[in-house]
Amino acid sequence: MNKVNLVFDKTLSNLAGYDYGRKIYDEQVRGQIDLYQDFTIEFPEQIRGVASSFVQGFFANIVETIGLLATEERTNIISGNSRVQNNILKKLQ
Amino acid sequence: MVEVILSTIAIVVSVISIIVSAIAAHVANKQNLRLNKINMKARYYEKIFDEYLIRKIPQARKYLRFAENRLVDSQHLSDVLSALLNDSLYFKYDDKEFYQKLRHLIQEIEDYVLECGNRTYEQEDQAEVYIEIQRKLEKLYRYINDNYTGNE
Repeated sequence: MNKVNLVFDKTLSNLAGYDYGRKIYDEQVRGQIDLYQDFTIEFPEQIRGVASSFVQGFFANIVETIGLLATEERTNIISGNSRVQNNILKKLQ
Repeated sequence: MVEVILSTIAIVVSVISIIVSAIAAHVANKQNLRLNKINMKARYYEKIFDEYLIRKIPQARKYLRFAENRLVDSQHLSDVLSALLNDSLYFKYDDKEFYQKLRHLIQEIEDYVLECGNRTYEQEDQAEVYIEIQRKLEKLYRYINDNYTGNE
């Protein structure tokens, strides 16, 4: 399956910062999924809030590679937190 | 001789009057254009910012609280601020400098409230967090309002 399960330190409830977003992408996603097919990113249930700065850093390389439209169309977000699941892609610009 | 002098004076005064009228008309026209631009900009400001400044941000701010010494329920405010940033994209093309600073101020607040949720604060430090959030929100409101009134 074209999917990545993200892992964070157990003490983290929220994700913020452009640089941190890029770091997580580079460490856990780059090279692990085929961006030219539909893909799934799963956030652990511990994550309750995600800042737009993190989203923009995390998706920066994906958007550069396949464009914003394809990113929105192909990305499937899974999270135990419905608010996170529904709002992450809205924070892309 | 006197007639010639008087005629010359009359011509000079006429020319000066014409020049002054032309300048006054030009200045008035520029003023009107400026006022029209301000009115048009005011329409967009109200459309974009009113609901956020008056209702959405204050409502989302109400949810913030400390539980087990951590700032929680901050995702409401984070989501509202992200939505404001998205809805402000008009300014990316109308006033890029304003947009970039606005973006910086919004993301500064968003990052702060969410990062606060990742650590614990002793009782005596919790008030400082609320004060800092208040300060950042005031800075955002002031920046938007000052730009609206042309005081930026």
